[in-house]
Amino acid sequence: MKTFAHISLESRMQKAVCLLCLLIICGCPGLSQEDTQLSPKESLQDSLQHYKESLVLRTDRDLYVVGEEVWMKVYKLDGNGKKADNFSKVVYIELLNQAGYPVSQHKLHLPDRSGSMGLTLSDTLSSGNYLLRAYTSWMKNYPAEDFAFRTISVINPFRSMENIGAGLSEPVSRDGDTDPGVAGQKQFFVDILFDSVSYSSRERVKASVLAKDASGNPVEADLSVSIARSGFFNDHQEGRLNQVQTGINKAPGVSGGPGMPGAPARYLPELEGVVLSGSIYNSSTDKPIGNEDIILSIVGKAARCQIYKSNSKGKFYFNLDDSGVQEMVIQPVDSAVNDYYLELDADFHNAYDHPLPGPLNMDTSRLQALNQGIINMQIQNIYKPYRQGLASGSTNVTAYDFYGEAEYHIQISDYISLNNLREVIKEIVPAVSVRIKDGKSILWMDNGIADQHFNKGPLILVDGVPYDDVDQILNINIREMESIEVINLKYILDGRLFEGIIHFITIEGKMAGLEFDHLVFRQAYAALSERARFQSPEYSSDSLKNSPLADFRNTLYWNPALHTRDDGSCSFEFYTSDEKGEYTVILEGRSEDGQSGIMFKKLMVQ
Amino acid sequence: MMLFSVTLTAQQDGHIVLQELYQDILHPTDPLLNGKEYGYYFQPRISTPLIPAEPYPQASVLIRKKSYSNVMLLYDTYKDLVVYYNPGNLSQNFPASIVVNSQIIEEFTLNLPSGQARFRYLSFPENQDGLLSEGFYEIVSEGSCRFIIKHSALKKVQDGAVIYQYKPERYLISSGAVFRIKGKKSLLEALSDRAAEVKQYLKRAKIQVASADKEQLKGVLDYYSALKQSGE
Repeated sequence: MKTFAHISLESRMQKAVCLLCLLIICGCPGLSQEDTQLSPKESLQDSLQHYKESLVLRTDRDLYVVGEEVWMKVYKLDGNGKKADNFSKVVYIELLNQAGYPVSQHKLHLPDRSGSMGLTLSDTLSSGNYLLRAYTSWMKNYPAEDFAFRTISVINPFRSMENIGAGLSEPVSRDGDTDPGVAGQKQFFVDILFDSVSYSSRERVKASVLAKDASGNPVEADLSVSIARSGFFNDHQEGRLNQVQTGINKAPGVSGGPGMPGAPARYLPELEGVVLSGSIYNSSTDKPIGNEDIILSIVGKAARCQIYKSNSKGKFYFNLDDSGVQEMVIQPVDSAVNDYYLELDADFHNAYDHPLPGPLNMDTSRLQALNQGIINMQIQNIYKPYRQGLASGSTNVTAYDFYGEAEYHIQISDYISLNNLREVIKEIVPAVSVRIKDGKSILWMDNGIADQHFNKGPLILVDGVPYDDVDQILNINIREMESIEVINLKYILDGRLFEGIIHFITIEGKMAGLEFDHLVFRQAYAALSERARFQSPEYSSDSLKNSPLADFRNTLYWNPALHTRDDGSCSFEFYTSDEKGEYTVILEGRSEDGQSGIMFKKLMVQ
Repeated sequence: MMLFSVTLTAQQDGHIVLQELYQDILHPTDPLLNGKEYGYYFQPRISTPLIPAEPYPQASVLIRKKSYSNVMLLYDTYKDLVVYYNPGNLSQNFPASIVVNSQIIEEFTLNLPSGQARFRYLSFPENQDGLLSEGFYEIVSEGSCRFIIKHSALKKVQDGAVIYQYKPERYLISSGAVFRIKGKKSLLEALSDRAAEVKQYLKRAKIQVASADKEQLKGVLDYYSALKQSGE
């Protein structure tokens, strides 16, 4: 089905192509005649090529035990996979099993050119190789093989490990890994210097980083550093820079990829948050309902509503920048529209037209390290509750009401206890009164400017959700009610005029069990994933150093946000854990002008 | 080489085209039509807390990284509100004056008699000695020493009528400390590490700090910054 948006997108693209053709003709007379005589359809494909973007995905290591976090960093690059870019603001990250089934899906908000997240491996996963893939909404217009990939291996010691092969074969297949910037690209050199040759347990490690180009000039680079148990990396990391990219590995920007010819751009780029799109249809005729105001609201104490007028194909779009799982309600603003159904567009890409990871073969020489890693994971998880507030660095963003500050805010607990909400409105709430019309209660509101009643009823919200059954609201137990906010002024929301707003906020913020008397679309929705931040314990004082909390991190340190200054240097510090042994240090990143750099080193804790 | 530069241009143009496309599809309605009706709570003939006093289509506003120019914006200095005035709204049965939702405004610029003034909503989570509260401030200069103006109004009753007396407050934020600039003494206190040189400069340039306009004070700050840079 071709929607208005698709047509509009194509039309825009054609305009853009005209502009591009003009640029090419005027600015580059040396181009061949063939390039200047593109048909509109070919030009559209050409423009899609030019607007391409690509990603690079990095992880803190290659092998994990269930229950651990995969720490990852995503770089946004231009379509050539060379220069840092910052176009799309949302990156989709999926973990696929060997059958191509997504076992974990996340939407990462990436306002900058790079960003990071932690993905917890569920203990329901089977041992085996898994494929991490990352893409943006705009990249979904291109073949899936142009996404960013990375293969990781997962061990689940609590489940059968029969599917793990034995022998001396490579422990993890690297075929699935892509980095468009590595193959045949300029590189810069990075080095890392530690303040000691080896360290003891719970000792501070100071490290300084220096990045230089081939001429010895300092390089400003966006880096990540990972320091983890050596057994958790592949053996052939050093050869990574020059490795031949195989399988699904294909540099973005290459023309004529599968699925490209004739494929119209269907997905919008996401330049703010997640774009939630869908269509509304008449349930009797299955025809789209156009020109209808659709309101999206999120259940909660803050009113966060958006209105979109559906286009001629019944299509609507909303921008969501909330994190975590939210309960959303979508309904027509006019509650009289009852004969409808909604279909939401899939957010994640549901095609897997790329090779999947092969079977996991475990090198027997790594078994000892792996066993120790499994024990470490269990110890870490036992002590995890005692480290709350340290292990998780997720940020809580305060949600604001879309209407800003209300004209009247009535905190129920500030007043004498009344029997019910009807009494509260009558005795306490200014500018609002309850009246009966056709046997049903309605709310009347005074116009704060004109000193008279509004002709229409106000927009009534309960915990942020439009709800117009006043009798049901008045039946809410007064002890469940926290506050009432009133805006006795005309209010325009996304071009729709309301004659006042009254917002009932319950203590729990979950609509106090109210049921809708008409059809609404109500479901939990995961917008942006909550960001976790890697943090390692600090042993800066004797009391901290003597803490009884065991510390057996498999990943000793992960910092995805290292930036060298204009002199090419930066520094970081962390503390070692209780686990002695050899650790592998991987420092890698990209410079502003698109060079890539990587370095491996060993760190000993004795 | 030429081909590469064309590709880059195309990529940048692609961004612009897609950005506009995104705005048109995701935010098809006038972003300024988001807010409550603005009620004129004063007698304009007697006094007004609005700047400029009359709406002219010369303001601009940045919303969701998109700039809207030549719109009629007013700033209510008493209530700290941005008012969008558009008589054309009446044809849609919308109020002519709307308080624009401050959360969506990234920046707005007004043409005032004192010159162009750029405003931004600032919040001060850290302790600023209670001097500054959250709200819209004119950003005069940024950098190591930030110069901002709070355009506010005092409500007074004069001859039985309520009037709003315009009262701009000037602040310098230097190294996290806030200084309200009322005169020479407070300015020298704010720039204490170069107080002697700044004092000489004020004398040479014949600047009366208490009555100086923002361009004169900006000149003092430029001089101060130059001193700091040369001293480093």
